[in-house]
Amino acid sequence: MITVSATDLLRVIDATLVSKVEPSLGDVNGRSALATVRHLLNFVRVRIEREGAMLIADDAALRRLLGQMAEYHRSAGDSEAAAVVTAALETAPTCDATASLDDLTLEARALREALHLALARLQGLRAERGDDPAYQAIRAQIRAHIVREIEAEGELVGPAFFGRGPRR
Amino acid sequence: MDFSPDHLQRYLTHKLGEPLAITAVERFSRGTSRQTWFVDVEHRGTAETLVFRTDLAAGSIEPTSLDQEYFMYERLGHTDVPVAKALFWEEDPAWTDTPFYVRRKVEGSWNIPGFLDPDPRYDDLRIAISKEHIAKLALVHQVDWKGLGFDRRLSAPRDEADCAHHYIDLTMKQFEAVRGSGMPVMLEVAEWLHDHAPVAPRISLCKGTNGFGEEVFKGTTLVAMSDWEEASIGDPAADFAFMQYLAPELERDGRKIWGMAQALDHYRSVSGIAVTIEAVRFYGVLRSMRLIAMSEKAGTATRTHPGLAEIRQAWTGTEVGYICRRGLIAAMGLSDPPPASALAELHETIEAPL
Repeated sequence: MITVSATDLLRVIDATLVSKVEPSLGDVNGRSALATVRHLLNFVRVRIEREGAMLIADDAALRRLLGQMAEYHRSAGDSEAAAVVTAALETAPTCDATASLDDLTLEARALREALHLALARLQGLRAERGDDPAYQAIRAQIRAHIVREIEAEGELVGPAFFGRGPRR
Repeated sequence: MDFSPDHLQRYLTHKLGEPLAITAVERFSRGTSRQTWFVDVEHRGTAETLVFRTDLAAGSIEPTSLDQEYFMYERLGHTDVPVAKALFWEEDPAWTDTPFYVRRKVEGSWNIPGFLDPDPRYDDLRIAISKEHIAKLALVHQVDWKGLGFDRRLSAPRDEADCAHHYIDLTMKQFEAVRGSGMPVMLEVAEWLHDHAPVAPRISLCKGTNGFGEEVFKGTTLVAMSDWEEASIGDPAADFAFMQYLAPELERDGRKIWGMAQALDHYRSVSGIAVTIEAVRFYGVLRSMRLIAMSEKAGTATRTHPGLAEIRQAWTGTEVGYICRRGLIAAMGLSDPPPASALAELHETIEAPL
């Protein structure tokens, strides 16, 4: 087993950039690029540490939400719209416990695309169904999911970037 | 484009039809959207600096094209707005594999010594610079955009009531063309903005991106307005939504001496145009949407051309997009905004640290 972890390596790479590379850079372009590189290396480290669990939870929540959207359309008698959402759910890649971060990202991307298209369709029904409590409820569920997902992103971005100096 | 001195010497000799010498070539370190190169040239016994603009190798982060940017500089040359003179467009494959254009360099600097120093002794400087910028923005907003044909390239709203709706739809069209995957918050906020759209006081040419670092100053005079890639036709309030320190909130002895409210009052006194704080806030949300479109384009370039993409595109495709998404859900009252310090850090550079 290689006991030096990926995040250990990222920390020592960053320290080396600071102690050995940065002092040798004379021009603004190089120093600016190095500042960005350091922030992004830190972002990679935080994502390695936290993103897997976050994506697994988010992908599961997205699947539940899309299922609820399909159910909403069925209840409203719109079987064609329900079938579109169901098909998107079925064709999205499915990850198991051995999935890599890249695989989880592909699954998340497919599910978010499905949500985007399904929401666009729902928005097109707003003039007709905007006063319907069931319509309002599914829209509220979507908004709640969007907020949770963006707030969760903050758990990756904040520790990686905030308070760590110029990005460029 | 090959920016080696030898190639530039051959190209410019051919283009200008007379011998010349290249004395220095430098890529400008600021700016994320496109490449800017300063090329020092000597010919006919005189020296001058030419500015070359071209897209990044993996593509600009801007949803609009380089030739639209050139069009803006060319048209603005027929107005009172201070801009660098556009010289020529080049796309001949004999000389370059990517289009570029060339403009003159206006002497001055994006940096204003003391402007970001929080010492109150610089407050008068900050207010003077803010007023100067507002006076030049007023010139932009009073350009005869129809007479000069700006609407040949920039789509125009039908009337004052359509300005906000037109800008939302334009932004969503640009976003849909570049997005890397689904982003339902953009659909939600577009709908919310349509529900809250203000009526514009008039239809103006708008610059798009403003603020400290975007313009060229000589002393306290704004001698050239730069970065026209986000220009549009619509509500002048849009130009107050992204000021990057040029409408600073200043208090002295517990008394407000300058800020957005005072800046808008001053703008009204010099232009006769009434812009409300509420409209500025509205366009601030749209500004975040536009930045998300840029973030998506940058992210796509990073994913599809990792060998060509610039490191700043990777940053724009990550942190910048997140901050803006956070701003959108805050604007709709669904969550807290990102920390003010994080917003300030986005504008910070190693040349102008906070």
